[in-house]
Amino acid sequence: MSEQMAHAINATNLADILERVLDKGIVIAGDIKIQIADIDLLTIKIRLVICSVDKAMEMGINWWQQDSYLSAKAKKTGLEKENTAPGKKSARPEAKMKAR
Amino acid sequence: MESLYLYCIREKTDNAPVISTEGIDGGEVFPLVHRQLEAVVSRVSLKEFGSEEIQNKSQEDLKWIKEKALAHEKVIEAAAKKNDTRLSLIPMRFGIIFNGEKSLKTMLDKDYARITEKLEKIRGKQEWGLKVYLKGQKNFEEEVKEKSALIKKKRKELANLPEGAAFFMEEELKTLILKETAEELTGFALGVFEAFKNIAVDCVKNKNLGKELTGKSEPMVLNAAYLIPGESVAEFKTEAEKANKRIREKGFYLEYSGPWPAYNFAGY
Repeated sequence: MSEQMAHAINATNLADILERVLDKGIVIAGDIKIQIADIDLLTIKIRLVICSVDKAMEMGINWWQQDSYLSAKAKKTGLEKENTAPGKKSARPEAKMKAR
Repeated sequence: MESLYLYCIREKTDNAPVISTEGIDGGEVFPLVHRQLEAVVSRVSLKEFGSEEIQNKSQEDLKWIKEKALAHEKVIEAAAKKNDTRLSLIPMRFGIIFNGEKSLKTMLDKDYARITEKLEKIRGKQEWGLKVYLKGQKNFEEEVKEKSALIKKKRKELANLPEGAAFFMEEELKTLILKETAEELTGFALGVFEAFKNIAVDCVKNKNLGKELTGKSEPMVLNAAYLIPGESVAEFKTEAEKANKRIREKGFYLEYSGPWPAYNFAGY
């Protein structure tokens, strides 16, 4: 069993970990809660984490150049757009938890 | 002022090994014993973790989020280990902090009955994840086209139409193919999901993760988690391997992972 416990941190496992730790873990009322960005948002932005910018360039992905996460000025409109996009859930993780 | 970052709550354990994994900000991780429970925590600086700066980081700095989420998971993995066995524990979501011991113990007292009941329920069981990906999207679509009576019928009709009318019918046919493919896919995924239900004591079908998060070029079509009794884990793995062979012929493949702390099943 101990062999399987050693989750190699490859991209797939990273997705597994992020999904669980940020979206599925148990929520209780602490005194402070660090609010993580909505997982939906993360899903879109996570490319930045998984592959380096150079690699993304190679792949012809250039969206980060106008990325709201990298440009404080664009942030607000970017988020609004995200949240009002059709079919896009903007619920906080807590709300989603209940839905499960 | 120092406060306590909470990773998980576990049953009080005699001779549990010291958790040597570093905490969320490099600090020492230790179990805070209260009645029959242990809250696994590390001290964090309230000045840092209570600050607006950290709230901003958690919204914007993905590198920071990734690092902290990994640290959180590693601590829980370490806290679950006792020699060769896994302790029953409730894994917290990222980012729950208490102002001090008193406040944490108040919470434990308030939820005591529900926490112990949950720990009892998940004792000896492991969470396993199972994800299915679609490799041959084109082939799958072709198969649907050949199989679907409705699509065949529409195609026949189309062949006999004059050009002008055919244009609209073609659009209609395209939509129909998309719809039928999606339905077939949902049905297929559900079939795989349900094939493991009898091995598990609980199961959940989560939202499929995007390619950006999985780093794969194939779309995810099933994202499931199962709570498996320790003695059935071998069976789960065997079945997963078998299923993988079965679905490969249809252009799918699956991946399973575990054992995980019961992130999907420890809600109380």
